[in-house]
Amino acid sequence: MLNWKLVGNKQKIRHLFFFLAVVVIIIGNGCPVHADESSGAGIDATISSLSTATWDSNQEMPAIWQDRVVWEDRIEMQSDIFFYNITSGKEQRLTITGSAELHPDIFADLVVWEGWSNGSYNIFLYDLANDVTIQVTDDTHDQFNPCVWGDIIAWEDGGSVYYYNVVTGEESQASEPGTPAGKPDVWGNHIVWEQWSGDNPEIMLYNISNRSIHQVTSDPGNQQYPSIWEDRIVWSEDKDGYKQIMLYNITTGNVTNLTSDPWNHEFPVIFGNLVVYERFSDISAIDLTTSEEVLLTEEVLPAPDTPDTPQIQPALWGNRVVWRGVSDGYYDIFLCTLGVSLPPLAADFMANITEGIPPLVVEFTDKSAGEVAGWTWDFGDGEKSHVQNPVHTFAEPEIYPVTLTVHNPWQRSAVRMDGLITVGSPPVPDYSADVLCGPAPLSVQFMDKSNGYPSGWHWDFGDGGNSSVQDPFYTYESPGVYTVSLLAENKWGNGTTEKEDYITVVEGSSHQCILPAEGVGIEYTDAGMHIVLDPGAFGISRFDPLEVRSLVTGIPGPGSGISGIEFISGDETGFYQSGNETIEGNLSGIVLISDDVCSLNRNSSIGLVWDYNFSSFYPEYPPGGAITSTVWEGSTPEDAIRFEEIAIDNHHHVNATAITLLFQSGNIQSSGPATIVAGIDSAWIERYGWRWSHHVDSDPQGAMVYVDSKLVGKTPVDIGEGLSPGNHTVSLVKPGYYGNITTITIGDRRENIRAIRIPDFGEGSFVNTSFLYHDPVSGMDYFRVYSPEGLSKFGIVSVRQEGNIFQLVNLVVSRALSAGGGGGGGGSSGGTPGRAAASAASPPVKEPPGPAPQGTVALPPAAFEGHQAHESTLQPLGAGGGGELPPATPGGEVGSSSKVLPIEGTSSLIVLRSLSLVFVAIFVAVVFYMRWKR
Amino acid sequence: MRNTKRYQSQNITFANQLPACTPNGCTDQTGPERDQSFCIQDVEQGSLPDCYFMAALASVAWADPNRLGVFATGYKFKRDMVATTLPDKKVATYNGSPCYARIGPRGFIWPLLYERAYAVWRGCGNPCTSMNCIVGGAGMQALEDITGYTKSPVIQPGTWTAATIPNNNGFASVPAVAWTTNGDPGNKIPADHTFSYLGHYPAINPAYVVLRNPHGRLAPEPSTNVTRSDTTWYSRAPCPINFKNDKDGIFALAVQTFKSKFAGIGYVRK
Repeated sequence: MLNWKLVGNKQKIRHLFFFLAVVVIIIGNGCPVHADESSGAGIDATISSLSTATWDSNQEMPAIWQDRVVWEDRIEMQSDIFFYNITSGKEQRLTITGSAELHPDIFADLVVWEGWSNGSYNIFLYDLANDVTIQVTDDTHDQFNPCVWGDIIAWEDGGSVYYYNVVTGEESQASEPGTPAGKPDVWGNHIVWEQWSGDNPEIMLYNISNRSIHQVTSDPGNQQYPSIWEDRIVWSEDKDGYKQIMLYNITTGNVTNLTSDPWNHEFPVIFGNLVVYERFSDISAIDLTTSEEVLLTEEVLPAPDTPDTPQIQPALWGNRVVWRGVSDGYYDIFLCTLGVSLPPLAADFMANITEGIPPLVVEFTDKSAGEVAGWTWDFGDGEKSHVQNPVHTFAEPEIYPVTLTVHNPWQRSAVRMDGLITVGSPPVPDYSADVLCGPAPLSVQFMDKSNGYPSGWHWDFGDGGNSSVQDPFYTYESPGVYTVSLLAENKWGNGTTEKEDYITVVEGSSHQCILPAEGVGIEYTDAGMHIVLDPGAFGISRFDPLEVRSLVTGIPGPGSGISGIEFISGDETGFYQSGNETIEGNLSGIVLISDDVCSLNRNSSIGLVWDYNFSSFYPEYPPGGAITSTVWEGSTPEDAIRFEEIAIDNHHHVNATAITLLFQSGNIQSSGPATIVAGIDSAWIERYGWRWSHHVDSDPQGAMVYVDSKLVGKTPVDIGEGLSPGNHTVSLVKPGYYGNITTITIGDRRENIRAIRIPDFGEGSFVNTSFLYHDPVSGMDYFRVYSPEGLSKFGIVSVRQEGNIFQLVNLVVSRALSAGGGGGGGGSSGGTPGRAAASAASPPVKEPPGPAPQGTVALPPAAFEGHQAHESTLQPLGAGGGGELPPATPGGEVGSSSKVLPIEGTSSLIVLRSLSLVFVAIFVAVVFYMRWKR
Repeated sequence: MRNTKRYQSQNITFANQLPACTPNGCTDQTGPERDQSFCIQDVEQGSLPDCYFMAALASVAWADPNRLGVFATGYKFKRDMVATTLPDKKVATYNGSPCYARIGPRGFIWPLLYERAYAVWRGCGNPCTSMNCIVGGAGMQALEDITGYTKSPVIQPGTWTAATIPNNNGFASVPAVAWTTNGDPGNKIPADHTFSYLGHYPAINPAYVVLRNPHGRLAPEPSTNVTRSDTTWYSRAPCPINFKNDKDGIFALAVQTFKSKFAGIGYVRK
């Protein structure tokens, strides 16, 4: 298959440069070899490696067009396509996909190959002129062996030969359907391929112009690997037990044997009058004009070639032959330029200095031998240069390899000096730790991440401990916050990095549950785990085979940390009593119920008081299995960040963390669903628990605020502190404005106590948390936490949200300057039903009875913030009604709730104004009457 | 019917009487989604305590309006599309007023529709009668929901510098929010409230951050002693802002006040 591809990559020449003469052979990077001295063949030629700057990969499948060469560069299962311009010395990587790109061919600016895409091989095209890649085929079939000439790309697809015109975009099938065909080659309007008829492949010729197929061969011998140039086709054919090269002239119809000696000759490519092919793992060439044959890789390249280093995959253009050879244990691409005799080209260089501190300025001097036309320096720091003797500055401390590649239009050579430049500086210490916080004793694995190649390390762990190893493992025994420092040194000096408060060790309290082994027998049957319980050694508190056969409750002995174990049987038999008074049955799981675990400071005023127990399901009973629960007050800084991130993901924030609970298992598989009952000090909840805040404001400010008829202050003011959960009446009073009364609901801080779970792997989450009850004796509030995903690390936290239901503030109110009244001006647009917050609706606002004292005007209903934003609440007094009597004091003075409030209202103003008008009218009438009387 | 009330930077009219609003709903056939000319002023929180969402929505309209998931067929949250259920984009009403956000000064109702779509996306049924699922939240999560971008870590306001939030000459180049815990109610910074973070005042030594209360024209604005003569901090047609206008919710807050009265800042980016 590979060799067929070579035929597909066959290159062509218009002028023959094949001279039998004195041979001066240039081998790769090195020494000239005079073929006339070794073989006497006598040709001028220069041979050089092209993929010379590669030391750890294989280059294969070369193709050539004029001075442009492409090949595949393979590392294990991945390969990419590379392009090299012989004249300019420019090398370019065409593909970077991480998958396989194979079998390239080139014509002018077009490079084609087969590439892996979406589960199959497809044909790809790279346009060198525009640096774009185009996928030519895109289906689930595999397309192989592309070749290109002019605008035509041909390939093999599922046993047929197709071709594609890159100008018209038209794709056509060349071979006849139903007959296996492959390994195409294209020249001009002709495509050739081998076509199988039974076990006998024949050579076929297709004319794109008239879409006609011509069978070139028809004898029983196997004809394969065709290559075409103008009106000549060459292929290899079985003759007398060997493969020989045959030539067919399309114009004359003549067939000629080109080779006949007893060797295998395969994979021919033709260009003009020159044919090259593999001759028993060597590259051989024959001049059609003279019928002279030259074994290039034996006669021209004797030195590097051995029987173990096959020279194969030839391609040809003009006087240039390329093939895949072997160099330094890897495949390389070789170029033989016929008719050119040059001295060897060997890259070499020196540096004036190889070690120093940054910035290190190094002068490089080219010492290459041969005719050098261009230089490419790779300094190992991402920088390159193309001058002969560059000066380069290495800025960063590092050890750098330097590579020099030199070239001319016929040769290429490279040399790499690994570790040539050492730029050193005092180390910049850095480090990490696998855990930053946790309960004591806390074991931490520190890892050195210093830059600058330190050779010595001095750790100070902050608690008096130290170490000189690179990656120390250290255990903190006592709670505290520790600053860790690392001093790293090398021959250039030393540096120190200190991370303040890097390790946090908290005071943890641990409790362990151990599943007893005594009194429990385990057998594994086809039905799973069969368990035998010995009531003599394992207390049985509940077993009723007549009523509930599926459940047995056991009580392990003291010290197990377990208050009970429920054994569950899921089969029909359930548990039963054996003859020896043991209880046995097929087990489908257990529920472990822990002892109650309490904090030790229950009778002191220091620290948070808590207690908890848990129950969790396990599918099996592992004797000796242990669950260790560790609890500490608050959270470590690391956990605090995780808790907050998880809370935000759930549209909350963490207000405070009461306790962190960490469950760790030993010799027991991960638990199933688990329930934790945790008690938290009620005082903590009162202090850190959150509920919707109630901020009351008005415009203008300074209105008195009454809650349940008790004055709490003037606006703006926060209310809620000290209020019990439930409904409360809030009134707003300001002299000269309408008043307002509304009802709010004070939430229960316990409603915002949640458990957040941090799993060992994956994302954390809120877990179902519900308030159970308040224990007035212990002063504890108890919560149930249900974790379907089992035990892990939990934080019992108080959460809060953004979204104050009373945040709609600054409702502009209007002073009641004129008579108005009537109508309902307030009310709510609906509030926030379903939330533990305020009840939104205000009571209806009524016209205040009786006359109002001078200068007092009631607030409109909307003046109390927290009302839902209904536009009607913003109507000035003249457009709305009055208000219900608020508990205010006369004259705007702050008064107690027991004081009688002034009567306010617009009706009184109307009466007063009417009376005034009547009085003025009477007065004017009297004045006029008196004047008239005069 | 196109709303004829146009926004004027210095003279904002209250457009609570949209011609397209009837007791059966409001319609907006020619909103800014036609030409993507979204304005931060279009977003005004209404009766629902979802300041976190409205502030986030306003922030996206401010810093990255092209990222708003407003499409002819619906509204996008992360990778999900909430279809516009009514062809004429009617907004449900309660007692004749939109039950969600307020209609901004330009008269467009896309924020109302957006808010309703968010409620549907979060699992509400009929948004007007079942609003619980978007009552209260976290502004950073709302930013992520709206944009599909990735949240930054929570930033403590005490650590704020001019480079904390990616910006272009002070103008926040990423949608950002800031929120309070206790706030400073006496200075009109409510507790448990979310603000849009618009940037910082582009002085040589930034002395102010610019924020917006999502209540917009109804928002109280903290007192400030900004005395700069260039009162228009950012003039981008068609949505210029002016933080000396105390009737748009936008205000400049002294950095020290911001650091001490706010609880967190966060943003999202690609």
